[in-house]
Amino acid sequence: MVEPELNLRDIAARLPAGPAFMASTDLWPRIAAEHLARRGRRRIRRTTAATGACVLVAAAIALTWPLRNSPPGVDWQARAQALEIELNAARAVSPVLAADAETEIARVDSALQAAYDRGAQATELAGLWKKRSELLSALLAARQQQLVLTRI
Amino acid sequence: MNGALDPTAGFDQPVEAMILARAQRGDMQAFAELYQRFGRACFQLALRILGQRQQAEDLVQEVFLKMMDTIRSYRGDAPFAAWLKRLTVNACIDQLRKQRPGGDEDAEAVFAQTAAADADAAGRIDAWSLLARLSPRARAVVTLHELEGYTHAELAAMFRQSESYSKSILARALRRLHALVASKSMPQQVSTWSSRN
Repeated sequence: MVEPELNLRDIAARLPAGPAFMASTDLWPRIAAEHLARRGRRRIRRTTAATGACVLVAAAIALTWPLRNSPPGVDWQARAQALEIELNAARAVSPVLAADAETEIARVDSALQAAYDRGAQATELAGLWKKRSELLSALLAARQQQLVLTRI
Repeated sequence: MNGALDPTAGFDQPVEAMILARAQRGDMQAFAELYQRFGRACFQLALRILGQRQQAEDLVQEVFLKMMDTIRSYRGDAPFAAWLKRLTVNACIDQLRKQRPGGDEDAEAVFAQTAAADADAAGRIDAWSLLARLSPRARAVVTLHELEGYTHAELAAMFRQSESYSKSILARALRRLHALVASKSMPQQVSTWSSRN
């Protein structure tokens, strides 16, 4: 004999319904409060992340800016030092130099010293070294042409 | 039909497009309207499966929080109520998995729990307490198949088990409930009812 197939509705058909369970009346206020709290926390996290990203980008720009603004491959400090050696060698042969140019170089040296003392930015230092290199180059060129430089 | 076992009570309501659009913009008043409409159905379903009021409330809270977070991605392919019901069922099954990690338990293990549930159950029996006589997993299978209309194939996918697993649990659970009701000397007519596959 085949056993009749059971189903829940028939099994429960004659049972009393039992109590009607309802969720607590404060469930929705709790859900809404939690939703708003999570939304607030997410907003704070997003703001913090965005601020952090901005700070990082700003720091990266600040650090790389001097490099971007200097011509690639030119080390004005090394160049000035090399020219100075060359000029010193020329001086040893003939000590005649333009007084104005010497004064100008001395002024740049003072500016460089002051800049290093106050911890100036690399761009400012590079500018001063560049100026010093140019002065030395001009002096060397004048020397080679046996000219007296009166004005740079 | 026994009122306490009405299938999907509350999940068959349509939702106006305007409410959904407002909810998708994060309007709290629209969320409140959705809760007013479906909160009870979610709670009843969760309570049937989980069997504990506090767990059911916590689950409804998680379901609604998830709904509010993800409703922007709801495209309306299925009715909103069906989508929400699916969220609820998935959350219930996740909850059952958390309660018993290692979801590959067999039907025997499920009914070992049932024996313990029987021992704890009060003598009084009604439609609600009938389901409480089952283990959580057996209760979930019975509720989802018998009341919510899920097929064995769908249950197998949700529980990550074979179809024979849910068929076995269902058959044994119904026999157990039938015997329980009969033992309480409540005469009733048990009729055949076409089963879903």
